[in-house]
Amino acid sequence: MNREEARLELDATTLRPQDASPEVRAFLEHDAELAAWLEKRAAFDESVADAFQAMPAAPSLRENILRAAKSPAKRPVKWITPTAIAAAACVVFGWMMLWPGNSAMAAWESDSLNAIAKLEYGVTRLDQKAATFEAVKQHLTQNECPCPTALPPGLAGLKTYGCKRVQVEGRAATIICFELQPGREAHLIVFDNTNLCDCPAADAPCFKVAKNWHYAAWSHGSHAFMLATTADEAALKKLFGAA
Amino acid sequence: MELTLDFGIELPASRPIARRVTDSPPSFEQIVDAHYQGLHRFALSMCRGEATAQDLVQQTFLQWARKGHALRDASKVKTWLYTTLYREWLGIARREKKHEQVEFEPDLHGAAQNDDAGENPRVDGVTLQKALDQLDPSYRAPLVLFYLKELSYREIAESLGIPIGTVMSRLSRAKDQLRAILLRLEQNIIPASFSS
Repeated sequence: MNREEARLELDATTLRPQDASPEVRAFLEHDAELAAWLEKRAAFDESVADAFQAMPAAPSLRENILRAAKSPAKRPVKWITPTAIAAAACVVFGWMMLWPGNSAMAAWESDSLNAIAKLEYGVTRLDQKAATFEAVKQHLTQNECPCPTALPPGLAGLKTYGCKRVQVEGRAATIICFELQPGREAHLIVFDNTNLCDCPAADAPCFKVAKNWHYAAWSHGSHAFMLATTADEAALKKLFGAA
Repeated sequence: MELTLDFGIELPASRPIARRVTDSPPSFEQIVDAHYQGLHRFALSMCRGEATAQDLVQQTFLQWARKGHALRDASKVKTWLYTTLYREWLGIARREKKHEQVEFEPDLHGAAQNDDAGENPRVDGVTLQKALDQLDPSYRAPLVLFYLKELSYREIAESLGIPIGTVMSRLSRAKDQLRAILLRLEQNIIPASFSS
């Protein structure tokens, strides 16, 4: 062991002299200059170590460590992706089963029924809540939205939930939701029928079925209408005084 | 006090580490109590941010909870914890691209070996942290572990994954640098060569 090697080992053990080898301790006994250097170095190291010990520990760290160790383990990441895909597939499959619109319908019918279904299933929300048709009408008029000028006789006295603006075949349309029965709604969609392909017949509702939906379509003046519900056909026809 | 867990991570307290027959194995809480402050000081000195430092310490103990049972030698718990924290910090530093592995170049760092003339500088916690911030991480890590007094230089080498001789030389040079920085901070003169 030469002097430099001894110095490096002594320097590495100033705070833990018990870690120094017997060889380096023996070396130190015969080198007064090195001993003096070590004494000064050890004093410096002690003062730095004291400053370290004075650094405050984070007060809540201990509790956070123990709490984190007790908290539920995260599901391994490798399961997340397939689980998410399976869940998404279930949602898509379920939605396809409930999706009422189809290619056999007129495009506007499919658009309208799908927009109504989204509202029924809570995929979208009402723009405006209102308990009476008069309040809905006032809101639609103020906002220059499509608004029916006449209602089927059975709808006139029903309580409303509100309305929502949507697009049907690129046209501005309004859906108005009525309480048909407790827990059962009827949705009226109205929009301008100018140059509408497969425009429904004027003032003569045509009753149809799609999946679990019953609906009627007709025109009145410059407006096209669809009234759709998941209630039975009789309940729908009753709104037109046809049951 | 033993911890009772109700999830997938099994704490090492339930899997005794090989020790003398008369010793009772330390519980997770006892290990936390013994080492969390030192680990926190080490983390704080390395990452310079309180939130990140606490995350590092928590992550270290979570790793211990998951993998500590594999440790056969109970005397290595401390080294295991410091090694794990250092590796966690290296991972963060690499992701943030703040830390580059560099070898020490005395000329670049202006190290003045054995420049011990004059009185030792005064040291307090704030000044010390400022001085440490100016040290290269490859020198700061062994130096902080040394001053924590928790590990021998051999254990420091093991924790940082570097040879014992390298630890000794880096410690010596880092102390020289630290002393020089502290002296200059005392005189409110910070040379550009020490700027991080």
